[in-house]
Amino acid sequence: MSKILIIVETAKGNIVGITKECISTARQLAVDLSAELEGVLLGHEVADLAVEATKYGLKKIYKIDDPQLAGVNILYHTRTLEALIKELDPKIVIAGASLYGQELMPRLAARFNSAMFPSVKKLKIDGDELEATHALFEEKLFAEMEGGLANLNFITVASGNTAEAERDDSLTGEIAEFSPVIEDSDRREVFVEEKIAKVSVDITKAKLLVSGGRGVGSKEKFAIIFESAKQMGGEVGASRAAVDAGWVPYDHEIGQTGKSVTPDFYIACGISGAIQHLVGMRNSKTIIAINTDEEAPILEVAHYAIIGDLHEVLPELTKRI
Amino acid sequence: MNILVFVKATIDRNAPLDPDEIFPGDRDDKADIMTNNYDKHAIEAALRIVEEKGEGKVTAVCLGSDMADKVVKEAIAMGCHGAIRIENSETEITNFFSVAKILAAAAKKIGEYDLLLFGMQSYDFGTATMAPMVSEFLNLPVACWVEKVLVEGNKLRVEKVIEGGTRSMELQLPAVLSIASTGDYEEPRYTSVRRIMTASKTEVPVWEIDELNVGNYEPNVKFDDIEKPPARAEKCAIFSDGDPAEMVSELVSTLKDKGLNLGAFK
Repeated sequence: MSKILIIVETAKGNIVGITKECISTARQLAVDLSAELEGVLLGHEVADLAVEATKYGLKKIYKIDDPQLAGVNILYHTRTLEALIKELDPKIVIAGASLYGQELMPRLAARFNSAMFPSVKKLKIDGDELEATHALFEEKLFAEMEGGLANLNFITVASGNTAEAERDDSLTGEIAEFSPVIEDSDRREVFVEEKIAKVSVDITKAKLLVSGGRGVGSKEKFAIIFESAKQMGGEVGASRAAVDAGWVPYDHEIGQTGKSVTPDFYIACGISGAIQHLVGMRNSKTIIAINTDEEAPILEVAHYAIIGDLHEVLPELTKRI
Repeated sequence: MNILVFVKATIDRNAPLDPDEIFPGDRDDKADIMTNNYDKHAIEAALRIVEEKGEGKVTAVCLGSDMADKVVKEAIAMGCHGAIRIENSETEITNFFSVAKILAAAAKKIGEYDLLLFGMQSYDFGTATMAPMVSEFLNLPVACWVEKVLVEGNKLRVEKVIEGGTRSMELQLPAVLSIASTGDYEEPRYTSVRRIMTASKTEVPVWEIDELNVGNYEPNVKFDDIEKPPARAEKCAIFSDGDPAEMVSELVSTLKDKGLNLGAFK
């Protein structure tokens, strides 16, 4: 039986959402190809996570548990996965188009001289071909990609296009041990440390988000976002630019490198709307932009926009609500 | 410190998008072409690294048709010391896998480099595959989405974006990096009149792909059927007249008419 291998990504002791989207996407492929759906999990002290991965429908998990994998070293992962893939000979390898997956998978595809389908929104089998949809020009155009199924294919799945696989505690799967493969030359990449925000708020559950970007101006001025959110009964969101500037902690970040949110109301203040931000918030039910620039890309996803200085508009809005 | 920074010509963000003319070589008007905006952060990083080290050379490398001349000139006008264009007339080579093989072969031909820099993705195809693929073809260490670079002897300490924070890695030189559009290199420098003059006088060698000994670069995946997504059913309602209080009033009453209650969460 042929195999589809899912690379199970974890963060802060959890299986990340995008991996669950990969599993959903892969299920239909597994049916079409009569293939076995298996997963691989790399890390240190990840026994529980390996068991958890089986609850999402992966029939077998290759667990690669080693102190050398305590910090994410993508070169170690590449080398180890190369060995595992050679042994298993899967038809398709799937990872999320997270920052991790987008760095790992092209390396593997290059190593195997194999087909790569980057950041796909849709995926299907048509005869002996694999077909995928990939966005061009930051989603202003879409391209169909095609490749043969005879050889190994690497796919990264873009987030927000499929529902996450649901956990089902009645499911079980086999856990198989596999050892890391690290060569001396791989020590040219060394993990040093990670700084991840402690989660103090869960903005993904909020019904109303007041979100600030570079246009807010400064850390002091960002107080208006917190104040308005509080008065309107919402939570605070932010763009990467605002968190990078140190105006607001990382756990408020929305977008490609932050959270994906779908609140009833999303008020984007001083956020120009780089695609990296839009992918995290465009499925919000009602989007209101407050921006000085009528040409800002945020208006392409917003339902309503006020053109003006957020420091004048937001207090008025708060007053009226 | 010799740095190669790879730059790409794409259709300009403000130019009309036509599914049949998505490559710079498809267009006749140079105004329709821009430097892939993400590559400017890589140029900024390259220049800053050399400036901070007090020595070194930055060479921009571009695979493109003559429509990309504008892009290599802009790289020089930003401060790159030189540039090389690899002829890709009539935009024959567009698949990321082939491009990565060609760029890796070009780096090999250049030979002397310590650092290869890329933008984190392209505006047009957005595959974000160049840095990791080229690093593999050259067997070099790589880090993607880098926001901060510190050179320490023959090593680099980099800080890269991860979901919810940053990760620090140490890489042995020579190495490959993709530079994030956020962080230390968020604001690429502008060109100056003086630099534009320099650029206009700088001769840019044009290499042929055939000279590069690329080997087989046939891709395993092809792109076709490029289409526009369905148009939005409802356009954004814009309130831009009057003072803030008036605009807010208009918004609030419009929301109310639609049955949307922004005050429901207090």
